[in-house]
Amino acid sequence: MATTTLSSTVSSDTARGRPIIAIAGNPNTGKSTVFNALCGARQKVANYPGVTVEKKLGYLRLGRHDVELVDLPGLYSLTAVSPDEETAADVLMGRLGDQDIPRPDLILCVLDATNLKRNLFLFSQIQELGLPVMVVLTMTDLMARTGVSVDVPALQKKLGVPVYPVIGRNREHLARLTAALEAEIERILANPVAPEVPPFGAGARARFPNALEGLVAELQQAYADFLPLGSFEARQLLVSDRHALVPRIEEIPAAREALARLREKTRELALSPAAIAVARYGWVDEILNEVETREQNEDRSFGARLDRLLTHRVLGFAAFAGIMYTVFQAIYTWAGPFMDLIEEGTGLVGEFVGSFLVSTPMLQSLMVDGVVAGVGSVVIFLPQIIILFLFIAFLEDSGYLARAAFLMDRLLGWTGLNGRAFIPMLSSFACAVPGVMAARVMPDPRARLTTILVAPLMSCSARLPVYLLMIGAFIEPHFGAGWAALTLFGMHALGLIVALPVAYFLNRGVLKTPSIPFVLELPAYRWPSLFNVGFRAYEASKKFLMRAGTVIFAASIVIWGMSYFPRPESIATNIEQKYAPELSALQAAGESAESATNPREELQMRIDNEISGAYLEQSYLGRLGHAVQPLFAPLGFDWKISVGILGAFPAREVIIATLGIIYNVGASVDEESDSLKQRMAAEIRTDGTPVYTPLVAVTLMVFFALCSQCMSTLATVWRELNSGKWAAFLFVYMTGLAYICGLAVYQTGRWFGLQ
Amino acid sequence: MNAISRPIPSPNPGTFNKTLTLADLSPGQNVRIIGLHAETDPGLVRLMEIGLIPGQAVQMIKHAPFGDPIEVRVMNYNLVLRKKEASAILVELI
Repeated sequence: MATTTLSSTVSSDTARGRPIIAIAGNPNTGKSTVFNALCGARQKVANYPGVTVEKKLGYLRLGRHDVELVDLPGLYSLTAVSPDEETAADVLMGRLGDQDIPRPDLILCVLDATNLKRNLFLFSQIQELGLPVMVVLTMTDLMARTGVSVDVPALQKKLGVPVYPVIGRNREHLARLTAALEAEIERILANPVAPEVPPFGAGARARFPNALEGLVAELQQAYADFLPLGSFEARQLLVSDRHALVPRIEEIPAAREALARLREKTRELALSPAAIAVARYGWVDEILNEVETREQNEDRSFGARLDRLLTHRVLGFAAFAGIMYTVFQAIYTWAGPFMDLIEEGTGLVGEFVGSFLVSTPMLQSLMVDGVVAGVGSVVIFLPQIIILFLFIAFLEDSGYLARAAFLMDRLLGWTGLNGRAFIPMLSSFACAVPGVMAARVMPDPRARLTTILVAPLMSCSARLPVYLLMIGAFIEPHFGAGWAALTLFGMHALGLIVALPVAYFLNRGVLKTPSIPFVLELPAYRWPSLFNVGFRAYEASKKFLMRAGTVIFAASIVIWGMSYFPRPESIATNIEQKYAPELSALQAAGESAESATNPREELQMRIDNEISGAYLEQSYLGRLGHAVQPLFAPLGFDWKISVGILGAFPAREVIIATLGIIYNVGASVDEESDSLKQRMAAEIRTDGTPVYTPLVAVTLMVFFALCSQCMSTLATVWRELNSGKWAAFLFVYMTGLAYICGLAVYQTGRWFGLQ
Repeated sequence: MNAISRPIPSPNPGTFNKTLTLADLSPGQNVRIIGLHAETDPGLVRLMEIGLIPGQAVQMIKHAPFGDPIEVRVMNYNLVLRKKEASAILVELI
């Protein structure tokens, strides 16, 4: 039994499907660029089972074979310190075989030519895994600027594996690489048993003390029958207690006994993981002496000058605020024309669809007031989403995000988090789902938990439609575009500001998180690849539209149904009867009068409005709204907003669809052309005062900024932490916080005499 | 090979016994790593794996606002770490 689970580490999975090539390398080496260049758009993002580390898969045709390409998370060493590194290491060592992730057939190791020393450290571990390895050398175009030159043929000879320089998406380089990959895959398929020593020449290996290597060989020998180990894994098992294979080994008495015996001998030799690291770097130095020449004319002036500004103790924060303000300003202004286009398109689609259904008013209402109005009112925000994702991808790929983390470390330090947590928090401004997943860069489990619990407080792109609707309708007309952008910026700052005390409370008060180390590479500034940035924006808009087509679509139908039914004839008849005498009187007079305004039509319109209003009021949606409204009354919300909030718990942008449906169903015919904004501005309470004032708008925005209204996020948190309890906690604390803060804003505003 | 690390005893036991660490530098100073405190700490092994090994030259670049963390240049890349970790890395000026 135990033997079958253990055999998953053997690399003989080739027989059962597509050959797999794994791309591995340090972070910031241009791994993803190589991946994208190789498979283009033929890729998808999935998750590794159990943990939600992103698994990037691509497909590539190599001669006769369809090959699967896996872009692993970046890692510095196979001795992982964080969940994402661990996943990468597990895949490379074939430990996820029983979870249907076979061991790769070939490792494509990406090395940054400007930083070979640190990159080769990882290579020295990878070459001990017993899998075929090929090297891609990136950033060779930056060598001149950094004063480094690398003798590629010499490097190839020293490493004993083929080395292919690839600059960006250079076709010639890629053609050479794919040809080599094809030949190598052919060779591997012909002989699926990977030899410990690659057939294209035994490269130099890192040398460890002979005594240790003797023990390594002994362990490999002892385990040969039930758990074949590469020399890397065998050595790690000997020097480190914390090893992923230990639980499996415990199951087999013979294995446990052999390991205990050999570990004892290792201890006698006083060999530590640190000594192994030093030995590896000794090997790296030996190689670099012959393949790398370094001049002192290294030109870092550009990056250094940029850093002087962007990480300056005062200007750095100003620059950060300025960059963020620019992002939101751009979202607010650039998207306008595109939104108008979509809005017009939605209107046309509604009219077009409606014209076919005139004979069936109910179906017409379902399609026009429900589906088109509901989905359309959300889709209209696509341009903003694209702009936001373009900016976030740009900031991340250019290297700025790491600077922001450096800058913010101290500000986050008092909360028990560190600068690293700032990265998942910033990506949560696009969407909390990848943000929560990005928390895997936190090495400490408790710090990671806190990061996951505060990341959803960041204002994600789904809140954007709510802000834009409210600001566009009630802030900009009163206060102008400057205040509008500032309000938008403020709403985004709110989540971050609230997150800090929450993190402090969680870390110090609840979890007692230990102080965690903060170690982060600042990658060189780089102009991001247009393809990478564009592809991410494309993926994001695809997801957004999918949601609009599924969740929002379904919600729209449900909400429309609740707002349309029940529909007793008697309501219309009663109102018509009430106005009947007045109407017939006007009708009689109307035939003689020649006035420009037609009082009869005006009255008819008033009657229609009253009828649709009465229907809505007594619909299921209306009843529900009236039932919960008392709860939201202290925040200044009427029953329609209350219903909107209720409907928005699965996905917060549903409120836009709900409001779109409510005001469409309740709208009379000639108002059809009005936008949702205008209709909301025209909404009045029974006492004649407007429902929406700037204060109500701000209160509603604050509520949405803090409230937990996203099933996807809760599901991700649940899966990520493997705990429904923490997901429930997240929901309760955010929703409670939203209510309290909304209450505080509204009541304070009232106290100051605002409407 | 394993003759590394452990705090280095002061060369003149009678004089002021103070060792310079990576956390004590001012921007622009160039140093060489001579050892790491308590090398068995897994956090420190990671620092060694990413390049902070004995014999390695390091340049202090700058402090973050409010003095912590620090940015150093090692092996042709820029690395940020907190003073707490940096203070476990013993250096000498070069």
